[in-house]
Amino acid sequence: MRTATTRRSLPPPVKFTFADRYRIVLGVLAIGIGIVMLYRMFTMPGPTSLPALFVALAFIGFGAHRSWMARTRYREYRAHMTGERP
Amino acid sequence: MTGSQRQDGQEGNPHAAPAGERLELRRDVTIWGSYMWGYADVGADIYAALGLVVAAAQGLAPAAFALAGIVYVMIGLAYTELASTYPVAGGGHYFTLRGLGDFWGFVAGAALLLDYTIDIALFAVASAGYINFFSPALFGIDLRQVTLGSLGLVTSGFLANIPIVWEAESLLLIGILIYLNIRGVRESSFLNESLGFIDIILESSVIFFGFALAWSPQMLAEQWTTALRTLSMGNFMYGSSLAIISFVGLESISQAAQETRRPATIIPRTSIALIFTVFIFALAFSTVTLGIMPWSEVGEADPIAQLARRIPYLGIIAGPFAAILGSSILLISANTGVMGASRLTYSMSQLHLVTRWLEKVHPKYRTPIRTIVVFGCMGALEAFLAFFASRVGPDGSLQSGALDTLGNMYAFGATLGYVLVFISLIRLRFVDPYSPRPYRMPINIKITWGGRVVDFPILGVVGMIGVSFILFEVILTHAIGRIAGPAWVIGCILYYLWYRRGQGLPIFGDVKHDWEQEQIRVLTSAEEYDLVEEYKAALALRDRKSNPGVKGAGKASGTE
Repeated sequence: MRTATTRRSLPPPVKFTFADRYRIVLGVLAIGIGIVMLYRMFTMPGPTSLPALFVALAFIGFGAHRSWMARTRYREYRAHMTGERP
Repeated sequence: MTGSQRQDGQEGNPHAAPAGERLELRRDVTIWGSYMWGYADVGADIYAALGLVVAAAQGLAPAAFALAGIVYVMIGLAYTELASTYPVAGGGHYFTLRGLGDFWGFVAGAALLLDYTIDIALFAVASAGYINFFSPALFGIDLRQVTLGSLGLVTSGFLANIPIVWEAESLLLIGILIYLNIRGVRESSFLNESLGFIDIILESSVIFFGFALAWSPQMLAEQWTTALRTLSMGNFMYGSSLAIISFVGLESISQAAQETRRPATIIPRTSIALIFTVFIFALAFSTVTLGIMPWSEVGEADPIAQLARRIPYLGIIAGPFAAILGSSILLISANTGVMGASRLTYSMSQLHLVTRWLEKVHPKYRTPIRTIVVFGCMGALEAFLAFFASRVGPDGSLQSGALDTLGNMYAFGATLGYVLVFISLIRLRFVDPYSPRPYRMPINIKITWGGRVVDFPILGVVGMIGVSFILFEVILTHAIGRIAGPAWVIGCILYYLWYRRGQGLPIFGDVKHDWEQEQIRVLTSAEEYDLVEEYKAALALRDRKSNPGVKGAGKASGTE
């Protein structure tokens, strides 16, 4: 019996869509917010706020994940267009 | 909820199938549409929740959001597994019915029905709150502060504190929603997606420019340490249990499932992206807010607009824009309540849990008029009564209390429903191991049960404990929710007993369902043919094991 425990793959992208642009912009923006937060925390005098540090790192992680997704989809798109394996 | 909720041939009407023909919801929600559908619903919650949570948890609001958010992530993962396994509209009550039987399915449905009616009231009140952001500039007075007392209509007693204009606006908005739903006019999928997209841009901009231009880590740290010293545990628990309302709307994931193309493939991706987006936005809003303004200045009525207004250079535009967008998107969320209640009761009536009287269709507009009117009016009644909790604060300003009261009850219904969903998730792993699960909650251990190997969901147990803890917080700290919420559920159970007895149906037992054929039908209609084959193969293997000597065992399940 085959078990369905793994993620099923989407069909390869055939065009560069609005959703792809959104994913890229959101990823870059999230990383930007995280960096701005860290910069302000460490350049301003006073104690470092633990929740703020957590949120900043969460933003960077989230942005990195979105960017990684966008990159993966782009590679699939390139591979689909050129007929190569991703 | 989107305008793609329609059936072939009859826009938006689940009752319009010709006699003898079973029409299906049209599957035209794409991967982007699925994501934005959820976002327009869940993403709006922060507009109402931020002010309530900050008022309760003060400087520890980010921790309150984080605590509720971690539980929410687990709830979201559970819904993702169940919605991709059973891609039908119906949501938590359907999953509970599959896992625990008719009675508990009804209890989950009753809890979620409470949520949908509160949803109508809460978001209509919150939407009116954002509309009134403009009243000081337009009329020279904050209309939210106009009470029966200030107009001289009532001089003393609690009635004097009722913000009559705000209440009238809220009831008017609910009336408009009822009328539009009866007429069958609903927002289009395009409108939902557009508003959701604009909202993401606005929220991202407020967060980005708030952090870049106005955010002070010191202010956040000071408020955090002050709250650690002064805030009582009860207040923090109250705040964290209220924070769960910024994440409810997860039902939309399962509501969308029946209308999503290739749901088993798309739902896990879009839901997980949605879950983490909303979680991070909620954390970010509370963090940026407390780094820009003192917690005591965060208004309950229009917190995002107040926050946006304080951003240097952009605030003059961002504040009003946030108010307009907030009022619009909250109204769409309120409409979700009207739509959701009718869809839920339709599903419950199909499963013999409530009377079919509610399925009555308007002869001209072909909409489920009775459900819309009954539950719309119930939402209006809840909004009306919630304003009775208004009081004058220590600084002399009016605190409406309506949002707080509604938030109380909202949290009760949601957490009770989620507890039952978690229990069902765990039980379904045992009683229905054959349905293909395109997504499983992570962290499972293999155990042998009844001669079979079962993936026992550790994270499901952790999630159940987490959401039970929040339900405990609600019962412990919500003075209104702990009375009104259980009273609603008990009232519904009494109705259920009366109805099932009257129909000659088992009260605590189950009406017979052929879930295997139902599952094959659902997966076939979703065009998930490989899952259909996988399911049939699993059933055939089960039949061969249980009847090893019988040639052709498994054909009963439609397998070769």
